[in-house]
Amino acid sequence: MSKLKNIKLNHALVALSLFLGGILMITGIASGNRAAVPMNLKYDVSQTVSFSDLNILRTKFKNRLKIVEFTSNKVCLDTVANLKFQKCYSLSELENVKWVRKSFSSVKKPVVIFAQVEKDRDYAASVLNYYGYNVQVLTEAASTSDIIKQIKNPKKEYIEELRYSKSRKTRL
Amino acid sequence: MLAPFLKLGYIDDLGMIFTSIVAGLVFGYILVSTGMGNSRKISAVFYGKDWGVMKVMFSAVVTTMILTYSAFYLGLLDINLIQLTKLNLGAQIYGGLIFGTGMVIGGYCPGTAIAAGTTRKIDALIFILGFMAGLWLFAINYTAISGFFMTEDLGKVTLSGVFNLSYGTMSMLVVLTALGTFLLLNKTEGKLYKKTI
Repeated sequence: MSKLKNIKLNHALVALSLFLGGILMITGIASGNRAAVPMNLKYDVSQTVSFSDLNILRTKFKNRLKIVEFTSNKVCLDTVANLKFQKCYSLSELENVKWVRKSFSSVKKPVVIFAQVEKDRDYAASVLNYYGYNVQVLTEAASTSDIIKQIKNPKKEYIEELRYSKSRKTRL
Repeated sequence: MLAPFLKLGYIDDLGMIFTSIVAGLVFGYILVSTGMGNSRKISAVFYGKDWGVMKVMFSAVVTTMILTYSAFYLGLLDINLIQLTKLNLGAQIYGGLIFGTGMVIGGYCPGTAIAAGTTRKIDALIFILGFMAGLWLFAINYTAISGFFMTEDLGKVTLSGVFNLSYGTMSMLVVLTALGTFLLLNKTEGKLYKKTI
């Protein structure tokens, strides 16, 4: 106790700074300059959208949304160049936070995700949800061409639904 | 929950304004209580008389750096979303010279002037009027004079990026630099100043 009393405050602060600096240095080297604590990837997959919801979302956000296919294979399902807001990415890219922030510039813009494998889709959704994005999971998609077909030529009932939601907005 | 909260939409603009007011009040209180609301103490650093300003600023840098990088490694902060000013050497050098000259003449920087102004110091209030007039003149003449001081945009530059080191290693190096500087400052404090009157 007598030894502790003799330690001056500035000496204690020097020791604390060195200790914290040392811990940070070790963590930085050991983790490869990435977050040392793993992400808490809990995502409620109940935030799903159907094709009709997707078309409503497109109208609501004036097409300012991203439709993304994630794949663990190297090849995407189909050509996705037909729609400028639709992309296909590799699942491994999600490990790079810099890439995520560059590819998804706005957290407010909804991101609609679909994948060939349900597990891949849910993983992508949980990672993007962790990074604060407004994630919606498209459950109905069977293929990219299916999506392109639906978006370009939505079924009649979807068009009716869109018309109804638009006219309801105007009336309100 | 991941930070920064505003960018990720966890708090809105009103929440950010409230947070800024609270942080500003705490910052101002600390500035005044550490003597940074005194123009004589601030300008004393330029004459080698009192290193207080350098010690406060370096302590603030080290504290912020340790907390920021700790939050990053603990997965509480996405460092990619932190706002960084792009490096423009011409603007930084000319701006630094003007800022430093103003600090030697007036004895304040904008933050310390406002902190001192709240304690009803007349010199600080005059200084605030001066820098606001300077800001206004600069803003209305920006297009005409920007070509003189604006150089190539070097993008977002960080020390860890330049030296290709991890944030943790860079933190340790900055801590060692700060401690070395403090040791040197303590040894030279009051010795460089020669009274002429």
